[in-house]
Amino acid sequence: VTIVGYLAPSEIEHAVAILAEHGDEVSVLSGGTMLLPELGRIGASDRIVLDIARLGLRGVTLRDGEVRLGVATPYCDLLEGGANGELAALLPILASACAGITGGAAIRRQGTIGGSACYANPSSDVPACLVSMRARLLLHGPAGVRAVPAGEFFADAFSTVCGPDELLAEIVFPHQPGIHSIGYRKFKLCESSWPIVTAAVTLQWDDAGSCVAAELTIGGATRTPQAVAIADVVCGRDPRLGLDDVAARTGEALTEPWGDVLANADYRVAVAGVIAGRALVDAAEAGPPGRSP
Amino acid sequence: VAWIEDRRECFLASGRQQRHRVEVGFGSDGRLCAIHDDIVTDVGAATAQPGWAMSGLAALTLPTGYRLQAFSARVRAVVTNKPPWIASRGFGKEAANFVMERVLDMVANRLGLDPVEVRRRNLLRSDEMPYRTATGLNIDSGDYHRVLDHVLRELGYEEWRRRQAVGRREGRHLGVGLAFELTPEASNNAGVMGTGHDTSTVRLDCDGRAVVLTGVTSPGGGNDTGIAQIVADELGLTLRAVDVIQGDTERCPPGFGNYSGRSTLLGGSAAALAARELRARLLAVVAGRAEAQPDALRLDRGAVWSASGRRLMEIGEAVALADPGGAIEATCQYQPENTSLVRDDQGRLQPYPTYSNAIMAAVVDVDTSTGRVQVLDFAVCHDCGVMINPALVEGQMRGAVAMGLGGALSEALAYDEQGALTSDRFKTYLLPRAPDLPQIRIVHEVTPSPFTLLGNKGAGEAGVGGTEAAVANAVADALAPLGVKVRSLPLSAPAVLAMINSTKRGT
Repeated sequence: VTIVGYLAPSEIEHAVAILAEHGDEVSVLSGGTMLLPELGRIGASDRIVLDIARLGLRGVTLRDGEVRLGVATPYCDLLEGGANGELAALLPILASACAGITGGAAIRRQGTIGGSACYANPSSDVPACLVSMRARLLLHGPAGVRAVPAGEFFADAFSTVCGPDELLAEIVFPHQPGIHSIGYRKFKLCESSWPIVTAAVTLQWDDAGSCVAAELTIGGATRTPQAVAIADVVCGRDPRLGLDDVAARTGEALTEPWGDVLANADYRVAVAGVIAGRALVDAAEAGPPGRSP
Repeated sequence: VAWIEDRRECFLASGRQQRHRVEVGFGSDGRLCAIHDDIVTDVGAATAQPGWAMSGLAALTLPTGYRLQAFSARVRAVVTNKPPWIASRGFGKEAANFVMERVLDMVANRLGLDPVEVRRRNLLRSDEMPYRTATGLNIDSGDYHRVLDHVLRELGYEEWRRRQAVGRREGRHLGVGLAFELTPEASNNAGVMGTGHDTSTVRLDCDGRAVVLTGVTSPGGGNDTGIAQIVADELGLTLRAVDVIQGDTERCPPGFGNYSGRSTLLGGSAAALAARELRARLLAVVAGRAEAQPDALRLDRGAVWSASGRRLMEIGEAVALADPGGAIEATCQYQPENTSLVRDDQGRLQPYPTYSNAIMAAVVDVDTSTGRVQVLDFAVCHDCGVMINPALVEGQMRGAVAMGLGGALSEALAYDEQGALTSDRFKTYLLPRAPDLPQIRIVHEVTPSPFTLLGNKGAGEAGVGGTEAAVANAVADALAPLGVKVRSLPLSAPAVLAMINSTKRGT
C-alpha cells in the first residue's frame, strides 16, 4: 500500500471536512490494531490515513446518568479507569469483555472500543456488548450529529451504517435503573483466536431478590449481534432452571448463522447455546446483590 | 538484494497433507506382527525444492523404534495447485509418529491392555542394537525402556490415571497419551545436498584466541555456541576466547550448512578433530621446551600445565613457540560411521548414522460440549546422546513441543475449493500462545552413540511428531468412553466436536 496522505486534525469539524472531501480514500486510524497490518499488505490500494488521536476523543464522562465514552478510549481504560474501578462497575459487560481481549497488554493499551465497533468483525467482543448495553453511537457528518442505536449500527459483517463522510465520535451508554447482575462469556478456540461466540446476559432483580427481567445477546454466530428472548424462561424462578430453555432459544434465534475460516456456521450455532448457558449461570450466581440465589 | 514479503505471502509457503490407510497385524499379547501402510501425500506444486521427498520419509521412518520386521508401504505423491511442501523442523519424519502411536494405542484399546504395556512389549531393547529396521535404518543405540520409565515417573502416570477415573465419574473427560519418537539425524546421501560430512578450520593465535571457521551454519538454535564449547574444551580455553564464523563462504571451508540435526554433530566434531591436531602440536613443542612427555601435559584455563600442576606457559606463548608467525591452524573433515550409500540385498540404504529418541506424555481435558482440548500436563524424556549444551537442547525441545502442540490442536493451513489460501494471518492460522501451553517438563537420558566422535546424536529437530502423537492419543483416551476414534490432526475444537457428534449419530 502507498499512504498518499497522513492527516491528524485537532478539531472534529476538520476531520469531518476531510472525510467529506476524500470519503472512500480515507482510512480512519484509531488504535490501528487492524488497520496497520492491513496497510502493510502488498497490493492494497492507496490510502489517506486520518489519525483521530488529536481529537480529544479518549476518555469517559458521566452526564445525566449516562456514560459517554470517547471513541478513541482504549480497552485498558475500562479496566483501570476511575479511582476504584468505578467504570468497570458502571459498564460491567464492557469491562468483562476488555479484560479478555486477546493479545495482551500491548493490544489492550492500543486497541480502542470505537475502532472495534467500526471494524464490525462478527468475531469480536465489542459489537454484541454495545447491543446488549443498548448503547447509542454518535456519528458526526456534514449535516451534523446523529445518534444511532447499536442494534441498528451494525449493518453486516465488517460493515456499519457509518457513512464514508461520517466519523464515530462517542458511544453513549444509558442508565439502566434497578438491580442488575451480568454474565459475559467469550469462547475462543485458543488464546490467539478471535472469539467464536460471545454471550452477554443481563438479569434484573426486584428488592425481594426475584428475577424480573432477562436479556441475552449473542455475538459471533451471526453477521450482526443477535438478541435472544429469554425473559419468559428465566424470570420468576432461579434463572439457572432455565438453562436448557436458554440453550434451545439460542439455537432457534440463530436462523442465519455466520461462519469463517476459524469456525463454520454449524459449529458456532452448536456452541452458542452452551456459551449462553454458561453466561446465564454466571449472571444468576452474581446476583441479586446481598443474597445468594 | 532486499527480499520483502508481507504476512500473507509468508503463509503461502508450505502446504502439506497426507493420508495413511494402515493395516495392522498383532498378536493377542499386543505384539506387532505386520503393518502395511498405503500413503498418499499432497506435495503441492512440483518445484525444484526437495520437499516432495518427505513423502518417502513418512514410509522410511514409520516403524520408528518398534520391533517390526514385516512392514510394507506404498507411497503416492500427488502434485496439486497448493504451495509446495517444504520441510519445517525435521524432514517429514513427524507423520510416522502419529500413525505408529495411534496404531499402538488402538492395539491396546482392542486388547484391553494399558498403552504402556503394549509399548513395553514392542519397543526395541538396548541389547538389540544396533538394530536394522525393516526399511533399512540402522539404529545406533538407545535405551527406550529407560526413557519410558523416566517419562512415566516424571508425569506421575499412575496418579493421572487415578485422577482420570475420578474425573470420569464426575463427567469430566481427561485423557492420557504417550508417544515414542525416533529422530534420524545427519543424513548422508550421494550427489545431493545431503552429504554426510562437513569441514571445520580451527585457527589459534599467539593471543590465545581461537577462531573456528566451519561449513555448517546456524538457524539460530545455538550450534555456534555448542561448537565454541567443543573447541574450548579441547584446547583448554575459556568460551569467550573462541569465535565461531559460519556462513561466510569467502572465509569458511566449503560446507553444506544446517539441516538434519547435523551442525553440532558434523561441524562440531570436525572442529574437535582440528582442535585435537592443534593441541598435539602445542603439547609437542612445549614438551620439548619443558623436557616432559607431551601426554603428561595438559591445556586448561588458557595455559599449558605440567603433570604436577605447574603453570608452564600461556597457550598464546605456546602458539608463538610452535609458529613464530603467530598462528597455527588445522582443517578437518568429519563423517560419522554407520551409513551406507550402497543398497543391500533388499534394496535398502542406510542414510542416517545416528538416531535421537524421546517419549512424550500428555494429559488433556476435553470439553465435550465445545470440543475444546486443554493440555493439563506434559512431560518428555529425551535422549540425544551426549549433550554438548543441555540448556540449548532443552530450549530446542521446548520450542518443538510448543510447535507440536500447535500442530496437534490449532495450526492448520486452510484452502478454499480452488486451492487458494484462506488462513493468511496469525488470527486465522492459530499458533499456541503461552496461556495455551502447560508447564513443559523435560528430562533426559544419555545413551551415547557408538558411531559418533563425541557420542552426541543431534538435537533440535526432535519433539514435534511425538508431541502431536501424544496429544492425539490423549484426546482419543479422553473420548474413548464415547467411542470416538481419533484419525486426523489438528484436533481443533470444531474438529473434535464434529468427531463426537458423528460418533453419536453412528456415522
